[in-house]
Amino acid sequence: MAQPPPAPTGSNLESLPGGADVELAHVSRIYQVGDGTTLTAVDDISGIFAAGSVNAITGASGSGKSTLLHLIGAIDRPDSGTVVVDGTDLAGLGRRALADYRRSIGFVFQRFNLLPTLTVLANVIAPVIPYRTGYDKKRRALDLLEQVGLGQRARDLPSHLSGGQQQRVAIARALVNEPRLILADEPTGNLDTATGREIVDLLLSLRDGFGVTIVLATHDLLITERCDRSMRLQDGHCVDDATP
Amino acid sequence: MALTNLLRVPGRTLGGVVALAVGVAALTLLLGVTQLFQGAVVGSLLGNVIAVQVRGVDYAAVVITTLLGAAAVADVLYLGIRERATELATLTATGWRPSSLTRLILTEALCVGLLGSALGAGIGLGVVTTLGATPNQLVVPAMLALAAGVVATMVASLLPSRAVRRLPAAIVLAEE
Repeated sequence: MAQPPPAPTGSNLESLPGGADVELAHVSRIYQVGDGTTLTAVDDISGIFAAGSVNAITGASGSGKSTLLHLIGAIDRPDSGTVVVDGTDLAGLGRRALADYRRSIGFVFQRFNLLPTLTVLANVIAPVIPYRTGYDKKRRALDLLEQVGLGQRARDLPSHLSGGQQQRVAIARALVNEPRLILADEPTGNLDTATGREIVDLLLSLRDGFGVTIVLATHDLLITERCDRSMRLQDGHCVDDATP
Repeated sequence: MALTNLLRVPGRTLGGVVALAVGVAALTLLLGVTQLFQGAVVGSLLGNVIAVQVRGVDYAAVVITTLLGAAAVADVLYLGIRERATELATLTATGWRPSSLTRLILTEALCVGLLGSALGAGIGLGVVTTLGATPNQLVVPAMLALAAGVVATMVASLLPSRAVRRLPAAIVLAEE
């Protein structure tokens, strides 16, 4: 396993406040798919992701993994049930507060979702561009890129990087707001096995180094085995909730 | 970031700029002729004698042309939003507020509006000077036409900026 990355100089990462507690209580999400038909993407899921834990949500494509991550990340709202993070029920937050909440978490996507016309450095800064911060954004981003081994590629466009490097940039972007919670949606899905392992090592090192809570969607059993907990979904239901 | 977005498809952005410039150039011409020549002037252009008389219907046509130009800019912005939906949804997921996304779109609108209006005002100013006016006399008409172009563009861009606020981030990211 990778060593925890050193805290970047000039930033506050060394004082990360640890991980967030996530509590799901009877969470359901139902989509209208036309002609009055509905699709229950997530059905009555409950569970607690403890602070500082690494949690895998597994299941086949369409089982509801991504939807569950979107609900935890407040990109989507449940039709019933509650998502409580550090004691705050997300249902009670307004649009502005939800955006602030999303700013307190880090999101990593399967296809990296980097902005193709921005440099690697600008991509890492992107989440904080509209905000005044108490730190030097550029310096923070450069520190994070150094952490993920891409300090020399700051001026490159994402298209000039390999898939693994792009995912590292995405992880650096996820860290720019000093998150207590990282949500990763199939973070190794577009990578070869060896590169995928490196990415998982990097994610796990964040937990080991800073106590960040990690929830990742995957159907890779090798990743699941390295997690503290595994929740398996099938057709939106939780069919297994175990500690590997 | 707004400039980078506009330069992503330069041909399309240029189309919006030119569409707006046509209306603003005509508006500058009409305002110039109205102010300096009381609505009618005879002059020469490229060696030919021309007579220009401004009527109410000309203003109506020019206003419609300017509004169509502003609508073309709004269309450029709207297409950009559709093509960048995943990127905008990603920014939402990383904590951008809807108001920040709106500001981004309005900044893009302002850039195109200013560029198109300045180009149009410049062209209109150039045409009126060939009729005997000096550029100094045309500052006010040119500025009025430029302001009208920018305002029309900003009003038209309210629709795309509203669309970006309503972007269904979860669905966009799920489809990705």
